[in-house]
Amino acid sequence: MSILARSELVDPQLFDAARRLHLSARRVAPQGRFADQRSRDRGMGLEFEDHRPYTPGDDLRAVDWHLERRLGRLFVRLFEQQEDLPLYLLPDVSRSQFLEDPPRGRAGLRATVLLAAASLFQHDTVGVFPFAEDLSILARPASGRNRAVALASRLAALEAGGATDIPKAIARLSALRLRRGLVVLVSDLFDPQGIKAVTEALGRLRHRLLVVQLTRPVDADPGLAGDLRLVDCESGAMEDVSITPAVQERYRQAYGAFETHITDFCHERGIGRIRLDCDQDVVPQLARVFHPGGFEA
Amino acid sequence: MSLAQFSPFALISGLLALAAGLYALQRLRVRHSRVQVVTTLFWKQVAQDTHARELTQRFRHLWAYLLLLLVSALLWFVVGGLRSDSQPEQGRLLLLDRSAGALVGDHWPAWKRLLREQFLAGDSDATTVMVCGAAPRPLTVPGDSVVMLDERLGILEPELSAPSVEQALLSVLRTKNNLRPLEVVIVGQAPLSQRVFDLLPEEVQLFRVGLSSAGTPTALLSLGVSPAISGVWERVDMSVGVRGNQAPILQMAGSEIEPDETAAGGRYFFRDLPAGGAEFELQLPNAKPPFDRARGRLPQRQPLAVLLDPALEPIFGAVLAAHPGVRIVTDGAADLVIRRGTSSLGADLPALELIASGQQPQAISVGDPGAESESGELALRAVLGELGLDQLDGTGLATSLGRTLEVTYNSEPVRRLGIWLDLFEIEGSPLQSSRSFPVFVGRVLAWLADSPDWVHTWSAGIPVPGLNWIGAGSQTLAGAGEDLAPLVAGQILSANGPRQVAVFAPQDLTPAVLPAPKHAGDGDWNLGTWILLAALALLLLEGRLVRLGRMP
Repeated sequence: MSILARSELVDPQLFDAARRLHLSARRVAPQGRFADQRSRDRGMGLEFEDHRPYTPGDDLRAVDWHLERRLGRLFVRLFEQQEDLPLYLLPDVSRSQFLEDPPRGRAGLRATVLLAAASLFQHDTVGVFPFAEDLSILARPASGRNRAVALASRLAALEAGGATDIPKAIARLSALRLRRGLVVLVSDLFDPQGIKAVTEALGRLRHRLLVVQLTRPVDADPGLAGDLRLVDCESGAMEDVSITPAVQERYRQAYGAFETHITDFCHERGIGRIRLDCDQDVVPQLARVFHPGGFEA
Repeated sequence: MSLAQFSPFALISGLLALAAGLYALQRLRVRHSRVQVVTTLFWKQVAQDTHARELTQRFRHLWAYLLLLLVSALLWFVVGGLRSDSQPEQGRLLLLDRSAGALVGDHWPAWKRLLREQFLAGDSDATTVMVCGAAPRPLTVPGDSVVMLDERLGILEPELSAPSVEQALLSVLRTKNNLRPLEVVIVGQAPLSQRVFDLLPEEVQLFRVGLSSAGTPTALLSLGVSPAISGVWERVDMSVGVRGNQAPILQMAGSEIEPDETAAGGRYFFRDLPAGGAEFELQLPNAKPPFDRARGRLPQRQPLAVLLDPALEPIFGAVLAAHPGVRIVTDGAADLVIRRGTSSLGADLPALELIASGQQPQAISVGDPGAESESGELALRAVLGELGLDQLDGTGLATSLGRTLEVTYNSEPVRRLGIWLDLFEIEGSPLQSSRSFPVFVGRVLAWLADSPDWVHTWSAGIPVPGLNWIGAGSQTLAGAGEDLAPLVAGQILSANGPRQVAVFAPQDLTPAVLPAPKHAGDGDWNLGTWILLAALALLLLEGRLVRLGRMP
């Protein structure tokens, strides 16, 4: 049984929004085919970017002779080089993503479709690798505007997995030896192994990284009270807790430490991080971030 | 403060047991509610001190424990019947009407129920309950519980008697401390006379419950028998008082007799009934038992046979001849004798003797078999009144004789009245010429024959002197001379024990309308109610704290 209705992901509104998003990478490997993705590497391209003094070995075809006649010195013209940016999307489809109502997996998959469609519309290469206990390959890296709908359909047909194991998923991704690109991890990051194990695994990744964190207000303040036996929906592990104000305060401290750890990690590594509120529509949240020229990974 | 149900030891023991029980509950492992969550990642860090497989846990939540202990202690006090030891400000007296009126319809169970409600509505430490049947007697005293009241009420039945509520009120008022207000609640329809009502001091508040809105039942109220106004000695007239519009029927000697006359106020008269001692029964067909019938026996009224000394013919001949109840005889078959003191005529008969003043120091000498058993002075006064001597002009007689007149009262085997002959022989004797002389003679003869005057009417609560009376249960009272008191419904309590005699409703079954007492639920909350409210408020506070997550 699929985890979401097809109409939740194959949504024309979602694709319209994707056309307005713009995602750019600061540095992309020079390999790959010609695309709309703009690289900061200057070289042969279509649009003039700048001049610089001529140095021996420069292509004489790039010398600006008009400037030589006016200034008496040689300058070469630099052009913006259009390059392809591979995008690797890793949506979390573990069981915890589909416990609540509405499930936070819905927001995660809609965000995945939006980002995938935006990249495909920019002629970029997109691969989708859902994960739970392990990584699976839903769509190998490929480009093509028309792939967006097919990708969304296949995501809607996914089934919820078991427990979350981000380090294993990252390790499996690295083992695929994909061309360097942008990895977008869409997850709540609630890995039973702890956030340190997650960040350590992410730190070993040789791709650029964007973390889309799926959150809810109740994550910080669950609003629970009384004597409770808390059952982990993925592992079945139980924790008996008598919730008092002191316990609630300690919970908030633990969650705060979790958030701080992620923030520090992203800041130190120059990693992009987006916090999505799963109780709200993801489109406007992402649109605010990915307006043209607004986000660089 | 003290407990009505428990001793101080039981109170302390109960409190300690509660504290220990709650402590043990606190120590027991908490029963957790099962909640599925996205992750237990963070809870693991904050719940390290909770271990699911332990039987007990460390003592936690001191304030919650103290709150629970307080609530439990308050409830314990309520169960124990906590009360104030201070003197109740107001006493309560509940008077249950146990008279024949309780037999009507379902009055009795209803009144018992009302009594119980009244008992519970007030402070049992200040409440006295009395039942008022033939005589008032206490049922519970202050401090008795409702359990005791129930037990005693359960075996109580109405008495065929008049209510003694007034009697109970008067007896209580004689003994009560006037400084302490008293609330008196009459449960039932017992009448209360204005006289008693006026006697109540200001400290006494009178209430009534159980007053039926239905009308009082049709009933026989009174029965009277008197000499016939036709003047025929052997005949009597009977008067019957009835509540209701229906005329009574008299059954006598196998025939039914209807009243000859009717008067206002439900009075009916049967005239010229033969005074031959026949049994009769009065019936009121539409009335309900026990107020529908009365049985009795008409008096025997035969002329007295008087043996008259011929020498006294000039003095008594005319008076006796004119008396319709007297027959002068000359032989020994006489009821009494009138003779001179020196004569032996009718020696064993009750006698009126005219004695020469030299033979008897006192002017009047009264001999009576019952003189020894009674107070001499009182008996003498009674006899003098009965004989009509108190009506004579003693001063005039003494003046005529020139001597002091004295009276003596002695015990003798038969009744005898000795009187100076001189009082009759003096010229123009003020005694013989007096208009009251025939009355005097008639009363003397009646006293000698020991046939007292009739009480003309019997009704509820009025004693009836000697009379052959047949009870409602076909039980015949043998013998005359008992002072019978046909009360409200047929049972008479005489010196010889209870007797079924007659059925008369009290003259007025319509009791004084009094306000109903204010119940405790109307605003007079006792200490237990307040404690219960406090416990409830604390429970609400606890619930609120739990909801706010301020309490586990």
